[in-house]
Amino acid sequence: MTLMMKKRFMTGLLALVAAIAVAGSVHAKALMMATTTSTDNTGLLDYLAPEFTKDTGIELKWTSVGTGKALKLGMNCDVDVLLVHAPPAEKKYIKDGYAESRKEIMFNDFVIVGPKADPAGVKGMDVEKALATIRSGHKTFVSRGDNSGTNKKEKLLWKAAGGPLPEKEAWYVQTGQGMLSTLNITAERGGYTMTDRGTYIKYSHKNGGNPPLDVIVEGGVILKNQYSVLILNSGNCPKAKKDLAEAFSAWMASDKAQELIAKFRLLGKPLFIPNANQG
Amino acid sequence: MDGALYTLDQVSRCYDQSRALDRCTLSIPKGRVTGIAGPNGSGKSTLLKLLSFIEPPDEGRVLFEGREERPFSPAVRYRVTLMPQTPFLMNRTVFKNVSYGLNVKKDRTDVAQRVSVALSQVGLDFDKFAGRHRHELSGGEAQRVALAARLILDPEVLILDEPTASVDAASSFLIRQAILAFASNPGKTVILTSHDAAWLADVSDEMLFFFRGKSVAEKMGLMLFGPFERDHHTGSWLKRGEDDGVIPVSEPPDPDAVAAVPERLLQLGGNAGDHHAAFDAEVREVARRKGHSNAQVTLIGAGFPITLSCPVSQTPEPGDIARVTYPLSSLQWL
Amino acid sequence: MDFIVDGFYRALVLLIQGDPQTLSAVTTTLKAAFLSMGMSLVIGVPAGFCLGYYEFRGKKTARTIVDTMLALPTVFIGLLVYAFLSNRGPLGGLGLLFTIPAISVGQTILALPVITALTASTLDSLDKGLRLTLISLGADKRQLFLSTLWEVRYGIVAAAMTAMGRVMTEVGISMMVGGNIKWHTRTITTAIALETGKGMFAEGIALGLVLLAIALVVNVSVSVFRR
Repeated sequence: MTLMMKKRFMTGLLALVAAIAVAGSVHAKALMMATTTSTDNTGLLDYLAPEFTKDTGIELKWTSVGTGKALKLGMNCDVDVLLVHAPPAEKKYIKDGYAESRKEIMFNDFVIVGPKADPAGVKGMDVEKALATIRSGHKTFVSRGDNSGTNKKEKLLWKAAGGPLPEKEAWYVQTGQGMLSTLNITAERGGYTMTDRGTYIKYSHKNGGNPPLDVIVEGGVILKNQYSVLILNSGNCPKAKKDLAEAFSAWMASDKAQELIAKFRLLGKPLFIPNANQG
Repeated sequence: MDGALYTLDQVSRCYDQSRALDRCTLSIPKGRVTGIAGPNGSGKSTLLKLLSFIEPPDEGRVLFEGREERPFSPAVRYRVTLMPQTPFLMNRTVFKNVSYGLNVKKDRTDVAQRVSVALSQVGLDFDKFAGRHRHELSGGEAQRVALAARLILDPEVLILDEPTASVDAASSFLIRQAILAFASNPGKTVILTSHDAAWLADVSDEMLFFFRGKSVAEKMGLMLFGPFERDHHTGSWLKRGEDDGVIPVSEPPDPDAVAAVPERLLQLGGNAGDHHAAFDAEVREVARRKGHSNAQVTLIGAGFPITLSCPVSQTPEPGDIARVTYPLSSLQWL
Repeated sequence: MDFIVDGFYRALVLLIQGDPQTLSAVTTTLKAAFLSMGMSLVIGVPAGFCLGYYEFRGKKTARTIVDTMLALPTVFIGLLVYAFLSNRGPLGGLGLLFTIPAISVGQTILALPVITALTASTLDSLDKGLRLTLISLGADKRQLFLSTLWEVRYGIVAAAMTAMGRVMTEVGISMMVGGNIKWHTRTITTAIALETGKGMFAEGIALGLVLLAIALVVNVSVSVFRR
């Protein structure tokens, strides 16, 4: 076009390049992490991050997405480290060569929550029996339906309870959303859902300690929810900041962090149980 | 063509399949007022756009001072200006509209003073009008502002397309005054068209006649459109009007051709002969003007208007049936 | 319903107290919007000018394409930009993912069709007499372009306001390409999404009202320009 237009175009481009340059030069010692929404929503990371930075001088930046996406981000090397809770998927991930190692940091458990009145009458049962009962009674069950770590666990439970996944059943509601939204929907529908205890405690706290949903079914090894830090395979992601990631992993397993995790409570109840130095 | 400021050489200009200018060749003198007359759609506006270098020709060349020039050429940019038929004022104050041309050439001296002068040349008071916007002006006032915007540039060539069309009488008068004042300066060339044939003839030093995209040698007193007939008995061609009036013509070269006879060769009275054609027409109007020894007579023949001039002593009365003759050889086909 | 009222109250608290997280979200939103509006105007106004002012073969086709791009969903744009900026993608080396410039790139893609189409419309409906007048007063091509733009300045401002509205309120791009990282790429809209996702509706409403307040300030300043 005309000279004037070309000049303006150039100025715009230069501004863009400058912006990029500035963006790139910020914070040399920063670690980019992908984690899951359920982890982030509890507020644990907001609580731990400042301590981590104080002890190591590394700034922790994280994006919280679904488990599937977190693993994908790791595959694409868009992050430096992962904090997820899907052990079978993690092990496969390592086998497939995307991560080199995993360190177990903390756990909590999953519980089945439902209305206080317990219309399905499954209180106190084993989780497999409870689900089977809910199924035969066609009682409303709400699922996250988003292939997250939580969702994967839920599908595992249905398999353990016997029979195919209740995909298309009318009483089976798939929200495609995060845990807190799903809990809200469950309360509205007067149904049951599976949640991690940490989110449930936060949910109770938000409802002033007296939420419309109670823990109906708990306990059992199958309901264990294990959180781990995954170090990405430097063969796949040579530019990932492996040293910073290992520093993070080590710090999370350190006595100090483990104690902080144990002290993280809501309504006087711990959300996570540290288990970095166990088997 | 020495002394000519403009020369058009086989210039054509087309819009959407139709030729507004058709292999037009003409020249326009310097330092004079040239009027261009012609019916609507004859291509006058297009001609003026090419003369002011707003649009280029599709074929042919437009020469200014002997050199071919095109739009945006620095040689003509500040020397030629056009006042279009419906002038457009920009969405800013009258002051800014008038001073725009000066800003464009970065001429910053005494701008306010010059704007004031230009506005007064078109009869607009600076204090009243300088701050107004276009929606605060009447049609006539807007036209005058547009003229002021061009006069302020003191161009060498001022081209005007129907400068007083659709404008109130007072504005029309002021605009005409301004044009005359401008033309009276030495070395200024004015080219204009106007629907007001009498005024145009009055104000112009030279006249150009335009028809169907080309200039025509002189003013035509008679123009006949087809279809034409052939008399079975005599084999000669004629034009039959709806009133059954008949005007003899020669053989048309093609169905779209227009028969034209120069005004000066049309005469009242006389007889048909070997070389002359004659027909009857009804006198509609007789116009006499101060200082002219001839009167302008307008007649209707075969449904077509005819103009000719005749000595004042021989003028017919309106309503009379008069005989009109012309030499057959002078009939042109356009 | 009560969370809406609650939200109003919280909005006031946030604004008056100058809550740092909200402030961070506000500045992030504004930085990203500023950058993307700048880029989209620099590219979009000349493009819209060419598309509206000139006649050329294929003009209708070009216009249809631009108009179709008005319907690009933000998540779709986010996905496309991610594909390019990801370390696996062609522009991965720039390290732009999860930064504000990355959000701006996506938002520019969002705003460009708006600016281009609306500028083209404004110029298409421009009186042809302007060109005639400007050239007859001695304008060269550059002055013709600038004076024409000035003549339609209000139309272009309207285009910019429309684009700004789309850019400041989008979530899909910011979320996908920015990552909603606290203090860094958390915009007001991604913060609203986060709070709503956590079931904190009142907080979501509060942030939404803060966004509206910003939009109001912007529009008031523009109307001052319009006189």
